Amino acid sequence: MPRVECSPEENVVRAIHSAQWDRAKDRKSSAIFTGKDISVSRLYGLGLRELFAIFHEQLDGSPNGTIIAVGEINVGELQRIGREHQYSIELTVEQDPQEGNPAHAVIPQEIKKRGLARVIIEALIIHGDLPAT
Amino acid sequence: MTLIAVLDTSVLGYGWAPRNRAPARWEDLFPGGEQENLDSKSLQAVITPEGQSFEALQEERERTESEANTVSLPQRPRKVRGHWAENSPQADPVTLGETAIRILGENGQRRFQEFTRYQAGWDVGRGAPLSPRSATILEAFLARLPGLATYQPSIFLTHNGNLELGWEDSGGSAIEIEFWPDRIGYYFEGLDEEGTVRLEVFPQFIEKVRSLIS
Repeated sequence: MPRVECSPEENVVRAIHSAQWDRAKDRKSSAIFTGKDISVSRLYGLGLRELFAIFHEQLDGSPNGTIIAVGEINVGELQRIGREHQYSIELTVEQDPQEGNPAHAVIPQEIKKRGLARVIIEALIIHGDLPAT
Repeated sequence: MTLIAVLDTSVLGYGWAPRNRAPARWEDLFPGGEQENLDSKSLQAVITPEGQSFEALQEERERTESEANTVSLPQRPRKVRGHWAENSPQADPVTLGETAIRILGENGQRRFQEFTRYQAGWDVGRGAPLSPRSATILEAFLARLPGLATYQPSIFLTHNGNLELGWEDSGGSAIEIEFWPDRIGYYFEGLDEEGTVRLEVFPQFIEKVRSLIS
């Protein structure tokens, strides 16, 4: 069954792992937005606090680092950045709800260019971890 | 044998010429091979074809990794958080040498040590464990660029299980280098260049990076 595309008006967030953000030196890796089937979460039905709770559920107690922030971006803005990059690419965000995260979605295209990934990362609105209530 | 010696002899198949000696001829370093048609200003000539899929690269990485472990890295059980990991593909505990630690600093060393503990799927479902071979190549890279300490590079772990360095050149432009088991991915923002080079041109790549930080 084909996945449903998210509307360009929607905003999504990308979880940022401690392996890809050196907070001490304030540098982020383009790996945050390179590769295929990049996981994001829709801000639809779930708030940031609930999303962080999901990430904590998945990583806390493991040796696998932490999600230290999420980066929010508008789907239409993401698509515009992809389209206007010198190596233009048509990006979509497709709904992919999962048992542990009903807001889960993916960017199915493979983002190969680090330069493009860095432009997307620059456009993110960063939200730090929120404590559970 | 040190990690760097392993890289020199097992990965590249030759020993590095001492720095105070005249560079060896290409045919001495790579007998039977022709020199890459390498543009001195750009490494584009040896970029991996863009058509190669992520899955193909993953398969190749796993195959290369497996061969590397068999040949040069003895298998040994690894302790993870107080108990031994079962069926771990890891060999010896991965460590970095003094030069690498000095360049990466305390923060970088701590981050590296964390990466060595990550298990498959570490990034909310995706993410390969740290490649020991990637660490070997990173170490060889840093050993040849001690001046990089000035730039206080950051160390990252990519989803492919590769180590990556990131810093800014003197003009403030970003530089990223990902150390694959058999190649190096790079991004030079100031030159608007990115791509992948094979390990056979490691010495030239070092010189290219040196020119960006000198």
